[in-house]
Formats: sequence, C-alpha cells, structure tokens
Amino acid sequence: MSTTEDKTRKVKLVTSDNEEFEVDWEVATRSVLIKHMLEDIGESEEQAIPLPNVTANVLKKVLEWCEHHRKDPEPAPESSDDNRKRTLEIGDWDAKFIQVDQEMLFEIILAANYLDIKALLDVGCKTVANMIKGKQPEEIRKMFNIVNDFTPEEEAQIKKENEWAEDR
Amino acid sequence: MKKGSGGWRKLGDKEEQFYQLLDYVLEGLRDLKTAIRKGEGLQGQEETKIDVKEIWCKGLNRPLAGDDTSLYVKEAKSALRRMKAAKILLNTVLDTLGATIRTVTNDVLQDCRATGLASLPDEILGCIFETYSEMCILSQSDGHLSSSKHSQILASVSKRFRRVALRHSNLWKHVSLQFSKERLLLHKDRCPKPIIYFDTINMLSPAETDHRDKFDMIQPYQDWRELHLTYANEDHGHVYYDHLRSLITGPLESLKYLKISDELKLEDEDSSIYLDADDPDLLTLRSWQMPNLSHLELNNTILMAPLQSENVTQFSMTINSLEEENLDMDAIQTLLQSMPRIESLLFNVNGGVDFSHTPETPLELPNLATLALQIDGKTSFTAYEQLLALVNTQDLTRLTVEFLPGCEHSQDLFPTWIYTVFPFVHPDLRPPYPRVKEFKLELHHFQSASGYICGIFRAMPSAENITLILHHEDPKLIYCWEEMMAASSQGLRSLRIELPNACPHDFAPEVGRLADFFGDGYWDQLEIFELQFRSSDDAEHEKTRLHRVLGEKLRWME
Repeated sequence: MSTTEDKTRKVKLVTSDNEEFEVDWEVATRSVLIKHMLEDIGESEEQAIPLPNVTANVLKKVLEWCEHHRKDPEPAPESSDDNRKRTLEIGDWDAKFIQVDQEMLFEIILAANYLDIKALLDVGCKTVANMIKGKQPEEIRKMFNIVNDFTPEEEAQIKKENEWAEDR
Repeated sequence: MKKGSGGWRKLGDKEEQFYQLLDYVLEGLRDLKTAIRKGEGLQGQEETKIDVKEIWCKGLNRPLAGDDTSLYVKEAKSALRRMKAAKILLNTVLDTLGATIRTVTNDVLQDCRATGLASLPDEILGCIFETYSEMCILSQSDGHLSSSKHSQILASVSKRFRRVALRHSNLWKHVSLQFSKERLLLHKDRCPKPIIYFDTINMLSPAETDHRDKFDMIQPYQDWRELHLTYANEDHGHVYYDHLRSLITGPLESLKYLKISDELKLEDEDSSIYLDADDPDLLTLRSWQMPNLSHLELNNTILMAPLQSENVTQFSMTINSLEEENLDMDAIQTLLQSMPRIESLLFNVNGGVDFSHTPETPLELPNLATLALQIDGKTSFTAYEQLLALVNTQDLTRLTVEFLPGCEHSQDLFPTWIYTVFPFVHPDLRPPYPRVKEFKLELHHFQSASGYICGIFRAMPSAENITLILHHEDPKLIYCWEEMMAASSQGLRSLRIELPNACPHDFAPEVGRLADFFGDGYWDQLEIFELQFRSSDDAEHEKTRLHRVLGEKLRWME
C-alpha cells in the first residue's frame, strides 16, 4: 500500500549505458523489481537504482508505459470467457505504444521481464502471439528466419501427429 | 548504371545523349560539393546560399534591357530541356534508391525479428505460446472447441519451438472428446490436468455422441480442471450423462469450472431447460463432489435441486429461450442459496422469459460484491425486477449493465429496463447501489437514451471508476457526464468513455462544454479521463482544448 509520502517521492534509475532517470515513485514501482529494491534500500532518496540489463532508450520507452499506467487498478480476476477474451485483447493505447520496430519490441519484452512488469510483458507477448496467429509452421519459420532442424525421424513423428490433429 | 530497358531509354535511345546528361548531373553535383566546401549552403542567409542557377545553367545571363533576347530565349529553352531531362533522370535514380531502401529495410526487419525472438529466454517464449493458444481457443465461435491444431503447429516449427511447446502443459490442456484416440493420448501425455469439452453441437443424432471407447483416454476424472458440457438438446445431453455416471465415481478434486449448456438446437415440444430433481441426469450431476469448484456456468439449464458446489464464488446463468417461459424462481433461489460463498453473479436473460414470483427477501450471500446484468431481446422488465430482488444491492461494490445488440429492436422497453435496474429513490432515502465503486455500462443504439441514463448515476453515489461503452452517436449523451459528476459526491477517480462509432468532431460542441466544466476546477479529484473515438484526422482542436484543462489526466484514444 502506497502512502501520500510515497506518491510525491522521486526515484533515480541508472541504465546500463549510465544514463540517469528521475521518475515519480508511483511510476517506478509499476516494476516489481524496482519496488522490491526500493523496499530494500529504505528511505534513502539519493541512492540510485542500477538497472544493468536495460539501456536508456529502452528504459525511456518502458517508463512511458509506466507513466501512462501509473494509476491502473489491479486487474480483476479472470473469470468468464468474456473477461478472458478482453484480457487477451490489446488496449488501443497499448497497441499504439507497441508499434515500434522489431528490435525495440523484443527489447521491451526483455526489459518488462527483467523489471517484472507483468502487464507490459503481456502486451509484448500478445503482440508476438498476434504475429504468429493463423500461420502454418513454414510461414512461422520464414517470418522469424528459423531453420527446420528436425531429424527425419522427428519429421516423421510430427507428420503423424499432424495427421491425428486432422482426424476428427 | 546502364540499363537494358526502363527509364534511361526515355531519352530517345541515344546513348551518347544519355552519357552527356549523366556528365551534366555529375558536374552539377561536383560544383555543389565545391560550393559547400567553400562554406556555402543550399539554405540559410542569402550571402552564404549557393547560387543554384549558376550550378545548373552556367552562363545563362539575361541580356540587358533593349538588347536582342532571341539568343537568350534559345539558350534558356535548351537549358530548361536539359534540366528537365536531368530531373527525370534523378527521379529514376531516386526510385531505385527508394526500392533499395525498402528491400534492405525488409531484410533487416526479418533479421531483427529473428534475432529478437532468438534472444528471448524459453520462459518468455512459453508465455507467448500460451497467449497464442488462448487467442486461438477464444477466437472460436461460442467457445466450442471446433479446431485446436494451434499447439501442434508450434510443435512443428523447430526443435526449440517443440521443446518449449512440449514443456508447457497449458498448450495441451484443451481436450475434446471429438479428438481422435491417438490425439487424446498425445494430449494426456502432455497435459495431466486437462480442460475437457464434451460438445455435440455439430452432431446430428445422439448415437453420434457415443464416444464410450474414448472415455478411458481422458481419465482420470480427478485431474480435470474444467468440464464444458455443451449439447445440442437434452437428448444429446442424456447420452453424455449416462457415460459420465459410470465414469465419475469419486470426488472431482481438481475441477474448478463447470459449464453446462443446452443449446436448444432441435425443436422438440418435450424439450425443457429444466433438469428435474428426479431426472437421472440431474441425479448424476448431484452425485458429483466438487470441493474446489469456483465457477459454475449454466446456459439454458435450470437445476431443480442443488449440486455439491458450496465453494462456488462465480455463478452465471444465461436463459436464451425462444418460447415464453415462466421460470421457477424457487429452484433458482434454492440453487443460489446452496452456494453461500458466491462473490460474483451474472444474469443474461433473452426472450419472453419471466419468473414464477418475485422473491420477498434477498438471498443470504455475504460475499456477493459483483453483479453483471446482460439485457437482450425482448425480455420484460419484470424478469430483471425479479432477478434483482434476489440480490442485496446495498452491499454490491461492482456493477455491470450491458445492453446487448438484440435489444435495439425493443426501443419501447428501454425506459422500463432503466427504471427497473436504477429505480428512482427520494434523495433522503438510501440509493439502490450505495457502495458500488466500479460501474460499467455498455449501450447500443437507443433513441433518446440520454434522457433516461442521466439519472442512473444518482443510484450509485460512491462510484469511483466508471466505464461507458456507447455504440451509437448521440452527442446528447455527453451531457450525462456532467450528471455523473454531480451525482458522484464521494469522488469519481476515473471515467472511461468508449465511443467506437463516433469521431471527435461529432462531439465538438460537447467537448467544448466539457472543457469549460473541467475548467471550473469542479472535478479536481479525478485522476483519469479517458476518451476513445473512432480514428479521426482533424481532432487536434478538441483534444488540445481538453488537454489544456485536464493535462496528464486526459487519455485521448483514436
């Protein structure tokens, strides 16, 4: 539970390329990793949090997301199909936010995973899942430059499994 | 640079002329380079600006006034021809550059995508796979598991994909009795706690539902995490219940979700949505011990006696009857009261349905916090009145009211629905939903809706987070927002309004009025004001006006 004091507090973050960011506590603590680190260091406002796995340009983007979602309530428990469907959809703002080049997309996913920002990781995962959706194995290989490295025995097994999947 | 066909040949197929033109362009570029080296530029102050006329048509000087201009005109025309030809040449060069940029960008895009995916740890790749799998399942119509090859597709891409896919049992959790035997065994091997679908919707006769030989392959029932029973009519259902009777002989320990759906597909006068207390099918259901069942969903099924499901926290009931039905309220009361831990209720009633009587007292459901009403078709307001009487609305904290598209043909019923769900109460009395903090309203087209919905916010003075999804373009609805603010004395924190069919300029005057309203500082406690419109190119004015007043509180989406 955040206090009024927390809400006005500033947090310093240092990236792997030594850039320093000063952000609101409420924004920074969208990251569970940063939240725990802040709890560990206590009240010391001056101490910067090192983020050795995130570069400045990626952190800038991640903080843009955290800023936008700073007041988001905790997500409701997943229940009906309708709720599950909604949670699999990407919100309009997030959809625009994640319209970045492919390199940045995967860096955001990695950063969200490292910083433990589940909702942002979800947005990234949904975006990649949407890229895969509706494609056949060969199309997925082509899209991601993946080599078909199955042995002939494995190929035979997969062929059999695919036939079973057709057989209804 | 020489090309066998295409743009270069436009110069009349005279190669010499083409080379001369190239020389002319190259010479011009060299002169430009020299000028830039001298400190001149293409832009900037007049004195340091390159004289481009001197670059591209050297020596072309207009004669003094009174001199013969015929030679000048001739030279100028020649220079113009040369410059125009050079421009065409450069445009062609630009086209080739553009095409190359696109090609290299695409190449890099694919490489970046490939490198990016390769850089993800297996754990994240697994999350992506699970998300993809859920997307594929939920995109299937009405939740029927008609096709689910998606996980198999992932497992057929590469060794790494296969390894990750096989390691994530959730990818294999959806299991239909319509799968082939081999496939059932495969899923059993890959996911020990499956979601089982018994679905007869695409079958013609009950005989086809006889999958007795497959039942062994989905055992043990103790490991089922969800059970979805969907049958075309009660005859089909009966065949399944027969099988299940012999199959399930002990507690369904893992079962958290049970869906029973009678799709009422075949017209049969004897067909009924009731499962009577002495009906063998209900006896089967009642024999099941489901100690961990948290979610029960009944579609067109009324159980005349309760199940062993006392730990259910979420219950939903959909009645989509084509016939006029007078449903047994006692049965519904008894069923609901048998689940005292219910936290969330959803009612969806569609058709000429109402209930035998209005309950005199609400159910004792001390944990009930969420109520969702889905209003559809021509259902009478009495049905909702009777359903609402089941619930102690005074303790609800979350309320959702959704008018489904089928309501649009029942314009005359709209006011009574609204007054039923949000009855007017004298200001000195307790409002119907005094503790509701989260409210969501989804509305399709209703004429004069604004006149009716403005008052609903008085029914929930503690609302903190309001979401309105308005699928029509009645700008008057915007005035309701002011009503909302006035009604929400406890402090509205967030207001989200989705207008999926409206452009911002449809609402220009209303947006202006809102900006004036916010400008009075009346609504300082608001943290988020989110507006979602259909995309529009000329919304900057409205957006800027609101942003000036609300600053970072405004979320504007198109």
